[in-house]
Amino acid sequence: MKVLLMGNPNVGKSVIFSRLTGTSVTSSNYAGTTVEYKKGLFKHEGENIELIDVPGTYTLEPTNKAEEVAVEMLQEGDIVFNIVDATNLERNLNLTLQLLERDIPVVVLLNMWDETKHKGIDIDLKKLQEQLKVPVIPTVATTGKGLQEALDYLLYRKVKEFKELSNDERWSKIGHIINEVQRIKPKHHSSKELLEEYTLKPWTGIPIAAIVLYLTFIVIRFIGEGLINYVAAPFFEGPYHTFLLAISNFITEGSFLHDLLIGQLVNGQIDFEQSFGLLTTGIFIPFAAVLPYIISFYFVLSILEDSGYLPRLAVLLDNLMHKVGLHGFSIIPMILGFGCNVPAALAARNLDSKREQFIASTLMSISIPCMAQTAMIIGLVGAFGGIYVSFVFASLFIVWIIVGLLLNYFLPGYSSDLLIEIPTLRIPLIGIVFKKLWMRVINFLKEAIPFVLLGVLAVNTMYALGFFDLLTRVLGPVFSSLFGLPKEVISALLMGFLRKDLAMGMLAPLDLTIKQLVIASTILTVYFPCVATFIILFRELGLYRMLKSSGIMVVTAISVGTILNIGFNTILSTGITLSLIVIIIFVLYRLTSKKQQRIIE
Amino acid sequence: MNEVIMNINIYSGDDLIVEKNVITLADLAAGKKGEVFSFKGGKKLKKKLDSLGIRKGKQVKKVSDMVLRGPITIQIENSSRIAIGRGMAEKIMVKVIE
Repeated sequence: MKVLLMGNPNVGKSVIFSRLTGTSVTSSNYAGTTVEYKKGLFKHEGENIELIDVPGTYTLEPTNKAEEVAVEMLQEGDIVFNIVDATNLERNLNLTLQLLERDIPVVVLLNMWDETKHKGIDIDLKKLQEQLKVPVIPTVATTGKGLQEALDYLLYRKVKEFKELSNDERWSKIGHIINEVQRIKPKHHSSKELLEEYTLKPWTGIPIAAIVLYLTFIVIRFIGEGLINYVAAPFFEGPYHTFLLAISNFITEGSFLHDLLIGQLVNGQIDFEQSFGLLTTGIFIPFAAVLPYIISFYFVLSILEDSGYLPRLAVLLDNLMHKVGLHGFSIIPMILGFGCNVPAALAARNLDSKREQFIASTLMSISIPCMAQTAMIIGLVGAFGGIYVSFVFASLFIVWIIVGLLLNYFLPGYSSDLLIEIPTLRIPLIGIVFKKLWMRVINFLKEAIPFVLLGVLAVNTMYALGFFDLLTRVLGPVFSSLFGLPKEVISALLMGFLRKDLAMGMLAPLDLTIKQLVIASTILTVYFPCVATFIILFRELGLYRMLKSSGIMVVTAISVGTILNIGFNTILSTGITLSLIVIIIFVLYRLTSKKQQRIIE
Repeated sequence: MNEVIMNINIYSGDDLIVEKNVITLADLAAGKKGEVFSFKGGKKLKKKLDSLGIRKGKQVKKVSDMVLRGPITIQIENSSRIAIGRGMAEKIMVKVIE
């Protein structure tokens, strides 16, 4: 039996889905589209129930791709569980009435029932049921209240004959129902509502966003390092190391197989960062260096998502994103990119147009260092002082803006306007957060790890064939005069075409000056993403647009490297001075505008 | 912040109706309330806004105005908060409620 969970976005649909299903949840794309939906199985009274989390929709007259999919799925279901936000009954009933007009049984789950009391909303359940002529069950998704009762209606098969209404007729009918069943006592602003508004107002919202983002990075680093130090490192240095030594002894050192699987021994020992074998570095980097950060990143992201904060960030940054030809919601692939560029490149396809997808993928690949890169930048450059890390990130941000402005200017088309609902802020449910985290990590392993291993294999083969030596000899002199970097760095940079994290590792033993380190790590981030992202870009953008995107990356990398090489000291000192001036001007402006307001009043 | 209050001329058949205090949602000052009056955009825009609960006669309060021509956020009476890009907000006419 197929049960469809349908409802407006932000009504607690996913929470109900998570509560009803176990761990056997799969996420897939609807045939022929890029719209994702979740499917889960559970048993109820001996029967196998397939529960489908239909993408959130406001109406059955689709206004976007996700809503089109929602309407098509309607054909496949045996029954619809229509989740309705009890605190926003009027708008939600629009979808409910449209569902009732269709030829499918509907049960209404009146969710967030507990919140109606705080909001002074009084709904007459009996009358509502009489008006809709279908079962109406009050539920509280966060505690699971009412869900068992809802399951009693799984076999409900009555289809009520509602005649099809025009839009105006439907709204007037809704108006009538609301008058009959709902009473609202006027309430003063609660302190929570005030906080919610503060997150949206510019002068309070921007500092709040800065604090939230800062905390995000602190927590990601804390959890990521914790996982590396207490879980990954003990395992790799302990049992896994012993296991590899056994293999190394079994196949002769120096043989082709040994080079491929184990790589070079450093002082007769396996060095996970420098051996470059498929089983040594090839396994170590994705699982011990990257995965812990991915886990901690997705954990924090799920919390941000479930708290309802992300749409607020989209509003605050919409204006900036418009300048580069995107809109507020494209912040999602950008944020994802800080974790791993692979899911970010995948998320870019959910944007409104091909143009936005291209701009977002290109900008993300150029300017967003993934967690692995960030960790390496902090490790390498940070040793000389935090100011240089800020310098790298500031350079990347400036590159992001300049390239974005140019792309927006030269690519035909325009960016669409933002139009999103801002959900209320909630405390995320820890169980749901962990379930989400689990699904994301599994997806990451399935999508990224094969490509990472493929990349190591490709690198090792090319290395063995002398391809890198050739490239270093040809391109080395050009790059070292442009970027002011010694030749050894160039082969690390070339390695970065395929594996950025490894390339950063190769820089470590070279004794570079801070200037050279800053330049090298900036270039490494800017030009070509890692091979895994590269393959995804090819799949998502197609050959032509992927080549176009890569061309932009190479040109940008060469320009940035050259500019930094020529003006490193000047840029550093002007950067610091300029940011101080901006802060002073901002403070003065705020003080005077407050004064002016007082004078006017 | 200077609030632009103007009259709008609406032709209904041959009759000219003058409606007072109708401005675009973008021009409505933050913190002020208005009643949705009409839309300057096409059917698609109307449909999109309608499904989000923004339709003629609805009371809305402007929660915030993002700096540098960023999006605006409104609170729809007894309903949700919606963020709307500036371009779109300029196509929504509201009658200012004193």
